[in-house]
Amino acid sequence: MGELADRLASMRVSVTMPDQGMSAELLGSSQVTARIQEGLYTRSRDADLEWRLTTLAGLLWVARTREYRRIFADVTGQASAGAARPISPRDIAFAQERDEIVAAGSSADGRVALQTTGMLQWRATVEPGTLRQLDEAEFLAGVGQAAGALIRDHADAVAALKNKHYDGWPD
Amino acid sequence: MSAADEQGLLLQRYGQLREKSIRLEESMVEAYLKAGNITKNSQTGRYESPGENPNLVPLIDQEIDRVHESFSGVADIFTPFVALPDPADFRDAMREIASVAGVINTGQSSKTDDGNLVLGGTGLAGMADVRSLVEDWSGYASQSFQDNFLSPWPTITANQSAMVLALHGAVEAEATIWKNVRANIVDLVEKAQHAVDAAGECSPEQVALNLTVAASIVSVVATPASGAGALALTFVGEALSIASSLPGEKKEIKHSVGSQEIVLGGSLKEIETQVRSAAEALRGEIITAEAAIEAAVNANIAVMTDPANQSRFVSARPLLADKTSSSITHEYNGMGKAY
Repeated sequence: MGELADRLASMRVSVTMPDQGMSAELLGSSQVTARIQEGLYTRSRDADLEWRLTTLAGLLWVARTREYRRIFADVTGQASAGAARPISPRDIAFAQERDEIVAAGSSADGRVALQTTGMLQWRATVEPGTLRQLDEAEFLAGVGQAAGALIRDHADAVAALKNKHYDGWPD
Repeated sequence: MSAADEQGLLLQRYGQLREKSIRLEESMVEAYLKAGNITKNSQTGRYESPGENPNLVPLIDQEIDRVHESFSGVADIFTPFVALPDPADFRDAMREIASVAGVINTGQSSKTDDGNLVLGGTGLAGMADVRSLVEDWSGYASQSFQDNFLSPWPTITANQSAMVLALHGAVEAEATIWKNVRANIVDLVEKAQHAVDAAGECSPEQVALNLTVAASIVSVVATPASGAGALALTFVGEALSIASSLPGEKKEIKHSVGSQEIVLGGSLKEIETQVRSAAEALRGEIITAEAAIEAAVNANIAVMTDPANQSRFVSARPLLADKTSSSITHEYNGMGKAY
């Protein structure tokens, strides 16, 4: 692949929640690493972590989109199409359906799950009793697995949608 | 970036055209397979499917072969453009023409640039002094000399100078064509690569480029020389410079077109089709631009070889040139005697 693909593959984006409680980093296309403020895990309840993960996912994807557009503009000298409203009927139809894609991912043990609609609305689910069953490192590893699986699920759905609206994309 | 640096960078990018076109084809295969969850192992270079079932390997291999076959030929789109003429190869011809102009030029305006026309030749400028030198010479021969040789001289040399300017412009236009073809084909392969790299993203990205070959040159009919015998010639040259370098009245634009925008984006097969179309369009632009140069040169040849124009290009040979020491003092055909 070319320079743009190389830079996207090595893209690194980091976000931190406003209260500094949790942070996350996305490396490349789908490698997510989450961190939690020292001591916060043991003080939290399952529901607390659900809203933190929900917020963090949204922040991370916005940051990822912003960085992607910056890299695209830097390499090509042109603005990303995502930065502007689609104007062709085909692109409009694609964008409408893309924004309705429901994608999901979960940890290997199923305790942590993430779901998104159009990468615009997010919902995290932490199975009751997870904090008792998993230590902090195991929980954070599960978060990374769930996020990575969601991103890949979304990418597959986008590819299928492109096949529907654009000629010659694989089934 | 200086013009020299830009040229150097273009030369470097153009030198990588073959390599870039091969990479483009490979990238299309890789992107197509990746969308189908068959990814390239960066260490082994082998295509793999996650959680690969050994029983499915033959089917995956079959798919890989099919996709390779589907995109084969993408690199070959660029093959005809790999060994294009080097614009720098035209510099020697331009310098030689410029040196001729330097001899003829008696003050007509022209460009001053390295390798381009040079202002201020002095070889023939001395003719302007001759009229004052023969002020005291009277008689039929004197009048004939003035009417048939001295008076037409400025217009004749101006026409010659204009013809050299036109020739110089034609060579410059040829160099300009190849400079732009090289730049456009490199732009095409690089921007196609960007479009392929972004093909898997959420947004249907588009990358645009301009084909500038036909737009890079302009052809115009003009009369740089002044005087009753001044001739209209067809001048073709780099669009950026011809307007400023061409004095006199510009009568008619023969060739002037805008650049052609090419948009790359959509699916991988669509990008492949767009690249093929763009290469074809570039070939068309070369033909159009070369036709403009050919038309200009042919038009000037017609002007120069028209018998009616001979006296406007070639000065009448003075009868005095054939005089000997004995015939020079002839009362009617020579300079006469002092009494």
